[in-house]
Amino acid sequence: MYQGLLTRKYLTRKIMPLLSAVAVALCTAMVLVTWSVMGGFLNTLLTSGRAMMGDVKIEVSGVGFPYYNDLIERLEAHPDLVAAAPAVEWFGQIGLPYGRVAQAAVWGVDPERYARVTHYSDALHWRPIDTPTRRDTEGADPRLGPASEYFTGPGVRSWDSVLQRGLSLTAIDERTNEPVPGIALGIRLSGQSRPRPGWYEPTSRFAEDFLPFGGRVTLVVLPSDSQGRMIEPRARIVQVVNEIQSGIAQVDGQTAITRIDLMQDLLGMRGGERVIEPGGFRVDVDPVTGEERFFAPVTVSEPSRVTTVFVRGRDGISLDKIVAATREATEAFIHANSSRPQGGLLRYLTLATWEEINAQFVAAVKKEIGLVLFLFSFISLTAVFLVWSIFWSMVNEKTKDIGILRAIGASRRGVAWLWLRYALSIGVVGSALGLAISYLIVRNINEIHDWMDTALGLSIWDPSIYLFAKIPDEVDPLHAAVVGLGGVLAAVFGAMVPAIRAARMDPVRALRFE
Amino acid sequence: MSKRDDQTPILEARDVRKTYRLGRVDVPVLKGASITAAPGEWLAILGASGSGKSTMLHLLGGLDRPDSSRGGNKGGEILYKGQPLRRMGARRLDRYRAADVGFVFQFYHLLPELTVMENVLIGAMVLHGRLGYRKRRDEIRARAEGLLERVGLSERLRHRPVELSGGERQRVAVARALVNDPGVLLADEPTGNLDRASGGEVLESIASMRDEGRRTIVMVTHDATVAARADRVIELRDGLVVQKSALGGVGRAAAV
Ligand SMILES: Nc1ncnc2c1ncn2[C@@H]1O[C@H](COP(=O)(O)OP(=O)(O)OP(=O)(O)O)[C@@H](O)[C@H]1O
Ligand SMILES: [Mg+2]
Repeated sequence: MYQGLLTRKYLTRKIMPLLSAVAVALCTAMVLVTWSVMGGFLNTLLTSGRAMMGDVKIEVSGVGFPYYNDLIERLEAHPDLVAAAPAVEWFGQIGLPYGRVAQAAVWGVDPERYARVTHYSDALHWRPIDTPTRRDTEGADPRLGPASEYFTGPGVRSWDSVLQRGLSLTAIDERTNEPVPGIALGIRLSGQSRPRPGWYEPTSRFAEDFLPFGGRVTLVVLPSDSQGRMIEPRARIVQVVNEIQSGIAQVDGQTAITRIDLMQDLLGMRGGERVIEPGGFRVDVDPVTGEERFFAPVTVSEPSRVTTVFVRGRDGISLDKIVAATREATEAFIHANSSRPQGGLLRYLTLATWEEINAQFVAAVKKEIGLVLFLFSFISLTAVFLVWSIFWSMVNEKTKDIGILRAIGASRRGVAWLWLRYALSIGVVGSALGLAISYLIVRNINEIHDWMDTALGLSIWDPSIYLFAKIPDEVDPLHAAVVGLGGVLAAVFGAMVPAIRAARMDPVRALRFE
Repeated sequence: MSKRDDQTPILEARDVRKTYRLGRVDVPVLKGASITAAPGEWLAILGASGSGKSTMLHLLGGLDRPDSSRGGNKGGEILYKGQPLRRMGARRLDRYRAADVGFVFQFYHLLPELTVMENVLIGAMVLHGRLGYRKRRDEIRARAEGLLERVGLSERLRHRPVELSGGERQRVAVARALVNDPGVLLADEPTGNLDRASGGEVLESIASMRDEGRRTIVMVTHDATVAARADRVIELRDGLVVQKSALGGVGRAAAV
C-alpha cells in the first residue's frame, strides 16, 4: 500500500528514475523497431513472392511439359485449391528504344487465369487513380492527369483503357486493326525516371518511343525443341501495353510479361502438326516409338507445352496443405498422362513454393534477423545495468527513508517490494513509452527514410538491393507484447540486487545515516 | 486500568547490554542497564551525549537487539507487557513497531516526498496493508486529521515537510507516531533540535497525547529542564542506569 504511494511520489519527484525509464524505453524501441522492420521484411518477402507466382509452382524448365490443361483441371477440382494458371518462363532480351537492350525473364501467361492465381491486376502500374500516391506531394503523378496527353495509339482513350490493355495483354495492330499480343514490362526495366520513390515519370512524351503503352520493343528469345535442342533465335516486335510495379525488385527490374500464345509460338511449344524434314540418309530414333528407322519426312502431331503451372490455394489453408494437395493432383495427372506422346517429359515435373525456390535467400534473411535480435537484446542488457546502478544509488540516497519505514513497522519484505514495485512502474512506463516510440517510428519509417534521403542525402533502404520499394511498417502485436514484457522484466531484474540490499539494511544504521 | 496493569511494567529493559564492534575493538555502550516504565507513566531518560540513550531507545522499540546471549542471559531482555522481544518472530516484531510503539526522533525523520497528511497516514498504511487500509480509510483519515489538529497543524495538511519549521515538523512526527494509537511513545530528544519556544510546543503536544494517562511515554534527553516535564527521570551514565526522582532530582535506589 505505502509502496504504491511512495512509488508515485518518487516517480514524479525524481529525475533519475525517469532517466532509467528512458533507458528502458530506448532499448525496447530499438529491439522492436528492428524486429518489426526485419520481421516485416521477411514477411513481405514471403507474401510478395507469392503475389506474382501463387503458392506453388509446378514446372519442367526448358523443354516444358504437355497436357497442362488436364493438370489445371485436376488442380482446380481439388477442394483445397482455388485456381491454376499455365505459363511459359524463358530468358530473353528486350530491345528498347535508342538501341538499349535489357536482359529479362519473360513470362508468357494467360492473363485472365494468371490474374486469378496471382495479384497481377494489382501490379499493373498505369491505371486510373483518384488521389496522389503517398509520396507524391505535388500531385505530379501523370496518372492524375488526362491520359490523352501521353499516347496516340488506337483503342486507347483513357487510363482505364490502358489498364484494360494490360489486363488482357492485348494491343491493337495499327495497320490491320486486329488484336495482337502485347507485353507488360517491369517498371524499372525500361529505365523510367523515378523522381520520387513510389511514382514514375514516363521516359518521353513522344509517342513513338513512349513506352508504357503503344511504345514498341523487340522481344528476342532462343528456343529449343521438344528434345531440348536449341533452335535459332526468334524475334518479335511487340507493343508495350502497361508496366508492372509489384514491389518486388526482381520482378520490377528484370521481368516482362506477355501472352502465353506468343511465347508458345516463338519457342515452338504450340502444338499441332509438324513436318520433320529429312537431313540426308540418316538413321534416327522415332520420337514416339523409340524404334530405329531411316529418316524420312514425317508429319508428327505434337501437344502444346508450357514450362510452368502456377497454383493458388484456398485462403486460410496452410501452405503445407496446399503443397500436399498440389502434389496429390500432380501425381494423379502424371499417372494418367505419362504414356501419351511426349508423356515422358512429365517425369521431370518439379514442385516448389516460392520460399523453397528462394530458400537460400530466405534462410539468410532469417539468420540475419536472429543475429541482429540477439545482438540488440544483448545491448539491451545495458538497460538492466543502468537500472541497477540508478537503483543502487537511489537506495543509498533513500537509506534514511528505509530506516524510517522500518521504524514505523515496515517489514524487510515490504521494503524489498517497495523497490521492486518502483522498478516495475519504471519498467511499465519505460516499456509503454518504448512501444509508443517504436510504433511511431515503424509506422512512419518510410517518411522518415524519405526525409533522411532528401534532407541528409542518406538512403539506407535501396530497393535495388532489397526486394521491396517500401520499408515494412507494421508492428506485430505479439512482437510488441514480447518486447514490452522484456523491458518490464529488465527493469525488475535491474532493481533486484538493490532491493535486496535495501531489505537487508540494518534499520538503526539506516536511521543514523547522514 | 486493572491492578495487575499497574504492577506489570508495560515496557522493561532488564540488565541490557549492547556492545558495538569497531573493527577489532569492542565498544560497550550499555553495560547492564535496567529500565521499567509503568503503564501511563511519562519517563525521561537523561544522559550526556554518547551515553547510549538512542541505543537504549532503539532496543526498547525493537529496532535493534541487545547483545546476543552467549551462554545464559548476558545480553539482557527487553520485555513488552512481560513478553520478551527476543522471542518475537520478525513478523510480530514488525507489528510491534507498527502498532504497539511509536517513534519520534530528534531529526524528525519525515519522508520528504510525502505531504504532512501522507506522512501521518503512512504509519497506518504500513500497519494495515492495502486491504485493511482501504477498509478503514475514512476512520484512519479522520484520526490523522484529528491528531494533526491537536498538534495545531490542521491548516498544513497538504504541505510538504520542507515547507514547515522544525517545531512543526516534529509535531507532524508526533502525530505520525500516534496514528495507530500505540500504548507507548518513544521519543529520542524530541526537542533536541529546536529552540526553547518550539521545543515547548512539541512538549505540549506530547503531553496532550497522554490521553488521560493511557499512554506511556519514554523520552530521551540531555536537557534537565526538558526532563523535568516527565513524571520520573532516570539517568544513564557509563552504560548503567542511575535512578533519580522526578521532582527533587535526588538520587534514589532502584525501585525494581
Ligand atoms: N553502529 C555503531 N557502531 C559503533 N558505535 C556506535 C554505533 N552506534 C552508536 N555507537 C556509539 O555508541 C555510543 C552511544 O550512542 P548513542 O547514539 O546511543 O548515544 P546518545 O546518548 O544517543 O548520544 P546523543 O545524545 O549524541 O544522541 C556512542 O559513543 C556512539 O559512537
Ligand atoms: Mg542520540
